[in-house]
This record gives sequence, structure tokens and C-alpha cells, in this order.
Amino acid sequence: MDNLDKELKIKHKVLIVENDPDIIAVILISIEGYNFLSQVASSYSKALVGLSNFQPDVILLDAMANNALNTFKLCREIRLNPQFSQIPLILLSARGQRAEIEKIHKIKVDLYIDAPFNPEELPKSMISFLEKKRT
Amino acid sequence: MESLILISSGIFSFFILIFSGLTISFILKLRIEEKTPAWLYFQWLITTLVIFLFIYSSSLILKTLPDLTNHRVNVNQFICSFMADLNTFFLILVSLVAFSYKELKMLYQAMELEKIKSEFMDKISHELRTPLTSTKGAVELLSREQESLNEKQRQLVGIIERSTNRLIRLINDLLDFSKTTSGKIELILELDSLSEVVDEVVKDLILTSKEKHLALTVETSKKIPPVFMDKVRIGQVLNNLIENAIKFTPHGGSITISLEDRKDDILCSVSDTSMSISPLDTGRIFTEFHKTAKIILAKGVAGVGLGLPLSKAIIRSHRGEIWVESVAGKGNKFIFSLPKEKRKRMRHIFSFEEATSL
Repeated sequence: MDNLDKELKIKHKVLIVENDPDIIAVILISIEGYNFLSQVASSYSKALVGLSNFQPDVILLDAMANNALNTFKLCREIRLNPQFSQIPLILLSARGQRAEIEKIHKIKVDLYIDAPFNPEELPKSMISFLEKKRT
Repeated sequence: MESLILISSGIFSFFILIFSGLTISFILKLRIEEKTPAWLYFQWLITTLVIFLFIYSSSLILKTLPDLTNHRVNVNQFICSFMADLNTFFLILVSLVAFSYKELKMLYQAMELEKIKSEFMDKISHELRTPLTSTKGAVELLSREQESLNEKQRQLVGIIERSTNRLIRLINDLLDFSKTTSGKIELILELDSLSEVVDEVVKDLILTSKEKHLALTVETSKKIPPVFMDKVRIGQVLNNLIENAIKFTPHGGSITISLEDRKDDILCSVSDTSMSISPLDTGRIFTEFHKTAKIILAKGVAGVGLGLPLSKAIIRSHRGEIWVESVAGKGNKFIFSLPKEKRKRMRHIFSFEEATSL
């Protein structure tokens, strides 16, 4: 019964693409208690597997770890695949990075979160964005 | 004979046209890489050529037109002489480019170097931000658990929190400065309240000012209407100004931040009771960061001297003004203005040159 309750309460499935264990921990703790069901993918290939297995409602990616994760390639792949192209992308990025992401990498991002981010604000801005998207 | 000259000169000009086209596209390609020196060089070249072409073609028309209208010269001859003159013109163009080849090459090399530098800075920025992101996150999550900490632990968490924020600001300033000197500063403009930004910054710095027994007060005459600005950037400017005031004001002094709503803009000032800046330095401190660094070094205050030049770039890119009023023996007043006009583009990238030389 408890399990069922939990499942009913879960609002959003989020795939976290991040390779720094400390940042992963901070993200997971900060979204605790906000009814997210999360899965972490710490590499490009794991993210692709996670996409089809986990079927997330939203993807949270780290744009700063681009070299290690191939974040921009992943974003393009998600946008090109009709199965996933509708999933909103939330990008953790440095503030000065936005123009570069849009102009050079030509990726349409749904929400930017400035890094270093405030763990209080992260789940709140994610939820308010997703609610807005739903309506 | 005439037709032979005509054909050969036609072919010749065709090749020269292609060659000059390629040269121009080469310079244009440099421009596309968004480097200012090449653009300036290109502008110079084009301006010279346009003036040259104008004088040349007008003299050509003046020279041949009377003859042509009097039927003293037939059309073939006219075209022939025109083509020959055109060839001379392109020859001059080609030699102009050929002579500046060395400069172009040097420019190109300088750009390559600049590119490597900015790539390096990008890499550094990511390397520095990653541990800072987790530190900031962890500390803020810890400070959420205020009740379960004892007084001493709370104090320690506060120290880590403030130091982390300060480190983040310093790194941001450094990276922004390297970005602005080598290229761009990105603004995300939204309708925001300046007094809210002031309150946030003051909240952050009130503890530091209390440690030095300084009175930090905010004065607002009436309700300040929201303006188009980049909240984070303006926060950065205010933070720089107030932090400087705290740094330079001796124990027991006072710092006042006041906002004034004017017809076309909003004025924000940070006045303190520190030692007044010499008139010679009032202009310098915003533009020459090494000079500021010298002043800072001489006074033995912590800092790298990037804050004011960066603040100027930020305010200028908002189309505002920043200046300092200094009264001997009374203190300094740093003032900046933000225009109320509605901005069409919500996102704008400014170069440092554009921002500081407006």
C-alpha cells in the first residue's frame, strides 16, 4: 500500500546526466522530498540506455562537463530522435555559456540553471517549469 | 587588334576579380571568427578602396565622357580604355593586399594565440566550477539543517558559505574579465526591480560590514520602478562597489546606498567615508585594471582590481553610466545609472571595447 502511495505521488521522472559524484549527490539530496523519481547516467552511453529504458519526463544535463560527457552531442541526438525529441532539456550551465550553446552548438534548451546552482532553488525551478509545461 | 585587346583585358580582369574576391572572402572569414583586429583591418581596407574607387571612377568619367558624347571616340574604344583602367585598379588592389600579407599573417597568428588562450580559460573555468558547484550545494544543504547544528557548527557553516560565495564571485570576475577583454559579455535582460537586487546584495554583505563596525544603510526615496537589466550582472556591480566600500572604509565609518528615480533613468549610489580617491585616479580606476591593482597593492587590501573595470563594462553594456565623485576628507561616492528605455533585444552580447569606449 505504501509503495502504491509512493508511486501515485511521483510526479516527474528525471534522468540526471552528470559525471561528478559530488554534484550527483548534491542534486539527489536537493530534489529529495519533491516527488521526483530519478536515475543517474554518468556517461554518454549510459544516458542513451537510460533514455530508452527509464523513459524520463525531463532530462537534467551538465553542460560544464561537456568534454567528459559529450553533453552537446547527446542533446542533439535527443532532439533528432522523434521518440525523445519532446522531452524537455534542463541544462546546468555557466551563465556566460548560453549564447555559445545556442549559436555554436545550435541546441534548443528548455530551461537553463546557472551553475554553481542553489540546491534550494533547483527542485523549485524544475517543478515550476514542468507545471507550466503541463498546462 | 582592338577586339584582341578587349578580350585579353576582359579575361585578365576576370581572373583578377576572382583573386580579389578570394582575398576579400579570406578577410571575411577572419571576421566571421569574430576577432576585432581583423575587422578593423578589413574596414580600413574597404574604406580606402571605396574612396579610391570613387575618385578613380569619377576622374575616368570626367576624362572620357565629353569625348564619348561628342562621338570623337567610338564605344569599343571607350570600353577598351575603361577595361584597361579597371585592370590598373585591380592591380593596385592586388598589390595592396600583397603588401599587407605579412600583417595579415601576423594578425592571423595573434588570433590563433587568442583562440588558444580563450580555450584554455574555458577549460580552467569548467575545472574550477565543478568542485565549487558541489561545495556550494553541499554547504547550502547543510545550512538548511540549522536546527540540528549547535552554535559553533552554525558559525563554521556560515564561514564556509561566505567564503565559497566569495570564491565563486572572484572566479566569475576573473573569467568575465578574460571574456570581456578577448570578446564578449552576455546580458540576459529582464524587467527587474533594482531595490530587490540592492537588498539581496546588502543581505549578503551585512555581516562583513558589522565585523568592521560599519553602518551599512539603504536609502530609497520612493518606489523605484522596475527596469530592463541583467539581475545577476547588476548584482555583481553592486557587490563590487559595496565590497570595495567595506574594504576601504576605516572602522566605525558608514556606507550608504541610495536609489533615486529620475525621468529617464534610475540612479544608484554607494557612498562611504573612506579616504577619498585622488582626482588623477578617478578616471583610471575604471579602465586600467593594473593601475587599480597598484593602488590596492599600495594600500595592502585584498583584491585583484578587476571589479571596477568589469563593473564599467557591465554598466556600459546596459547603456548606463558609472562614475565616482570624491570629496577630499569626506569620502567617495560611486554612482551608476540604468536607463528606463525598453530594450528590443532581450539578449545582447557586447565586446569589451564597445562597452568601455561608448
